Amino acid sequence: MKLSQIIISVIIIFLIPIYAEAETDEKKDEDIIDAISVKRGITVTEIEESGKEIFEFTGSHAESVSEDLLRVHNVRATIIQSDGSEIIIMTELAYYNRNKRELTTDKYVEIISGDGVMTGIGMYLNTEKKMFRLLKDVQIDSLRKTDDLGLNLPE
Amino acid sequence: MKTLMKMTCKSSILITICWIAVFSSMNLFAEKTNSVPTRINADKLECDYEENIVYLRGSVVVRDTKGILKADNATIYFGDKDSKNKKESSSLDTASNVGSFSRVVAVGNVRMSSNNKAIVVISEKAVWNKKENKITLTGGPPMVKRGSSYIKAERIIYDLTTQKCDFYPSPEIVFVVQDDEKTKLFE
Repeated sequence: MKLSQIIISVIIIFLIPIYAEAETDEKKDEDIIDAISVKRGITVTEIEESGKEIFEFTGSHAESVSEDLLRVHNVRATIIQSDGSEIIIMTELAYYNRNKRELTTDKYVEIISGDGVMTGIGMYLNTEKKMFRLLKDVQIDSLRKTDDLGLNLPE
Repeated sequence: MKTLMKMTCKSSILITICWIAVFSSMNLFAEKTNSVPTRINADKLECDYEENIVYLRGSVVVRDTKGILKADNATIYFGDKDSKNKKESSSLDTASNVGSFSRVVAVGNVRMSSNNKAIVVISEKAVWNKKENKITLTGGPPMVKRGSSYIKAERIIYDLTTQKCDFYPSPEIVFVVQDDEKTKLFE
């Protein structure tokens, strides 16, 4: 066997595992994209073109359901309004669609606002349309100052 | 046996005077100290947090320390839409601050009552304008009931500041006097 043939054989022998490893990595990547599982907390932030943060949510852990859909556990979402005030949303499980910018759940939801708490079963939030819906059994508890007259009906 | 006295007044002023006289002895003023809780229940809620509007749909019930309001649907507006510059309105006047509404519109089978249900207000629509501090009742026609007695008109405006009610146009007042009360009245 000529020296040149030996050198080519050696190169091929070394290249085969490198090529095989690259192919395996590619397959691994595909697997990861198919099902990402985040075990130690997840934070997703939506930022406007102006650079202003308008929405953020955190979860204890999450799994991807499809390319755009994420299932998030123990969700705490914050809507940042134009004046800087915040609406905080909490629920045990929600789905976030990054394309449609929607956060949905069929679980119990608690929404904390400036001076009150809204609760309900099931929620649909669209951060693009800047609206949310509570789908069932809505309750709002708020405190108003007594000098701010309420229903004030005669007894 | 009950005696029914029915009289129809053309002048809303007279009715207003009657109304004030009837309820002048009652406790119309809320306590002026701490905060008080208000609970709102409804089937569904939609919040437009850009326009600062909350829509309550189905079996709306508002419970206050002073009374209860019930309606089929209600819309709560936050902030001052009349303000030339939106920034003029307080940062608290947003949907994030439930108590900071500027206007509440309740529609469909509107019923307001005091806790002991001594007085019941019935109408098809109620608009609570916080800036004017007035509640305007229309449709039905609106009616204020106490027992079997009632006052109704095409429109009732209750001024929360002055504690006065205006009934116009076409006001109608019906007093139902119990026999024992009638005796006392004539004595």
